[in-house]
Amino acid sequence: MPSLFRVRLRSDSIKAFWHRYSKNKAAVAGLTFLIFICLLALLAPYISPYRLMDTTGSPLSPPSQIHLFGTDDLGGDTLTGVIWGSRASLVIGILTAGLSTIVGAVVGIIAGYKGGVIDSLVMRSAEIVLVIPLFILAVVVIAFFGSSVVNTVLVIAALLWPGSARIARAEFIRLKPLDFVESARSTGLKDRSIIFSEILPNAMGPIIVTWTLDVAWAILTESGLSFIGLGDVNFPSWGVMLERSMHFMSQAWWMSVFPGLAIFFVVFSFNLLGDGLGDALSPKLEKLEKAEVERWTPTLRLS
Amino acid sequence: MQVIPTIFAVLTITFLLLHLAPGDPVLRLIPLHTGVSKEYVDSIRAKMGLDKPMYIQFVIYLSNLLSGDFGYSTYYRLPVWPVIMAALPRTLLIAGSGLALSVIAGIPMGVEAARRTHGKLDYLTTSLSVAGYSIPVFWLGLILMIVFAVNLHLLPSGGMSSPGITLTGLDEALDVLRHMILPTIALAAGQVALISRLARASTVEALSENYVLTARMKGLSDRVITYRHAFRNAILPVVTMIGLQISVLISAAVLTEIVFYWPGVGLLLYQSLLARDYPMLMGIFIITSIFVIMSNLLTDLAYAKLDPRITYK
Repeated sequence: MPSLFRVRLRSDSIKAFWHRYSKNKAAVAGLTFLIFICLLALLAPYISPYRLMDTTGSPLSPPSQIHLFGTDDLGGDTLTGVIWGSRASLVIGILTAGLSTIVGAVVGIIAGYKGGVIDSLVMRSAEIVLVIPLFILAVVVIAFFGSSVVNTVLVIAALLWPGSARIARAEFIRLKPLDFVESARSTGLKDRSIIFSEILPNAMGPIIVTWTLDVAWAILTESGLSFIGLGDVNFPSWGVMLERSMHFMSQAWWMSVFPGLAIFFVVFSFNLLGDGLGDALSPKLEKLEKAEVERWTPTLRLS
Repeated sequence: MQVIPTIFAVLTITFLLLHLAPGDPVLRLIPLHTGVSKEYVDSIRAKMGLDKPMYIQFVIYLSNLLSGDFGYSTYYRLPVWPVIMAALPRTLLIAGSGLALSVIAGIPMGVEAARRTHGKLDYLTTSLSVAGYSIPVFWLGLILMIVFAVNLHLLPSGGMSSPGITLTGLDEALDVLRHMILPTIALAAGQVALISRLARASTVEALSENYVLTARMKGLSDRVITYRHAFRNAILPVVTMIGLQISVLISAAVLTEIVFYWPGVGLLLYQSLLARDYPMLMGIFIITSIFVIMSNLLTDLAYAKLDPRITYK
């Protein structure tokens, strides 16, 4: 059984990778911030200054030494809310992007490797998802099926997978005619072995990059859905906090500022991480500019 | 892009939603609470053909839509179509001006950054652009409103016109303009980021082409080379992206409208969501989708005009 993880990560290749990644200072900053936020999320019960949703002071009091980020309309501590909210955003973002990347990669791999009818069918459906207003669709779907973490994850993932499918497909089409794949085929390897142990390890770079960018997108979408009241009440997220803050805009700026900053920094960090990984994982790839331009050049439309 | 299959897919999605979601589909299409007679419910049931097999229901559903019957709002007690069509131009007003602002600001930013890569402006553009599309659009709206409306009192805090006074002609237009400023800026921020980043990348790419080298050998100035020779090729991917961004822009406009209480499709979506007005929700999705599909078609045609190498099938 060929293993998905037959990528031999020798210590020197990790070193070389880190050497390339660390040249991008912004990407290092992003990674550092994400590690910090993950620690906050893991340690939320131990480091929060107060208990979640407790009345800890007078309502709507501005930032002070006892409430660094102020309090909300019920006297809850905003800092505590922001710390706990990291759990919802990270869990939903990472799960959603993970699901969509796996589904997208599998679909894209099959499309890119097999070609033909399957390929055009997949690309057609990916194209459809690109031209409909996804946020509106997400709102409508959740309105029909009810708001819960599971529904949010499923809906966002269903709207995200075409992106990673396109990337995985493009990688497989790029790699398939190369010599090492040809030679593997000539030794009589089965399709499955060629896909998993020859092509996939070489295509992992762009797929991982897509995943990080998808996490950023998923977190933004989740916060938007929560903001309009479609969040999970049992799983307080930054978007839910912002929804409440909207009603106290003129009295309590801190209710809006801090949860929003948290979303911004996490999304920003995932985007920086994605950019950094993109540079570091594909050193041999053509210039970044070229890749970026190609993303937006309509290949399907060329006749 | 294929228009008919895409629209067909959109209609299929709404049909499946209505029939796969838990509960009786009929109860989602009629006003609750108030005295709705059993006869009325039965007449709707018969009209949808709910006693017939699924594919016949689908055909009935499609033919209703094709004859312009988008359903009846359970909240407004009005047909869905005119309500949405009244709100759509207001959404297009802020979405269009947001897009225009981002093109006007983003393309020169990107092109200038590309003329001097690794310069100060380049560094600024590159880092600002990643930040720009990481900001939640509704949060940017909230902050703009807190700063410029609530605290500085420079601009109105929401709505589309000042309440309590009736204005006409130019005064009315100026009043709407004042209300538009903040939502437009909130919408443009993310788009400026994307457009400048891509304009930079494609200009860098175009400037490395052989014809640019030829122009340089002819001794043309840097400015002429950038704007006369490279620009036309550099702009092509930006046109494609703008086409694909229209759906993102409409989604962002929805959230922006809710923050600014701007009476467009987004606010309508929000109110329909609170009232669980399912026919309206489905109608909004169908009509905005068709709008985006059509504007994509237009961008495709524009692309074919700009690039003589491409013909549109």
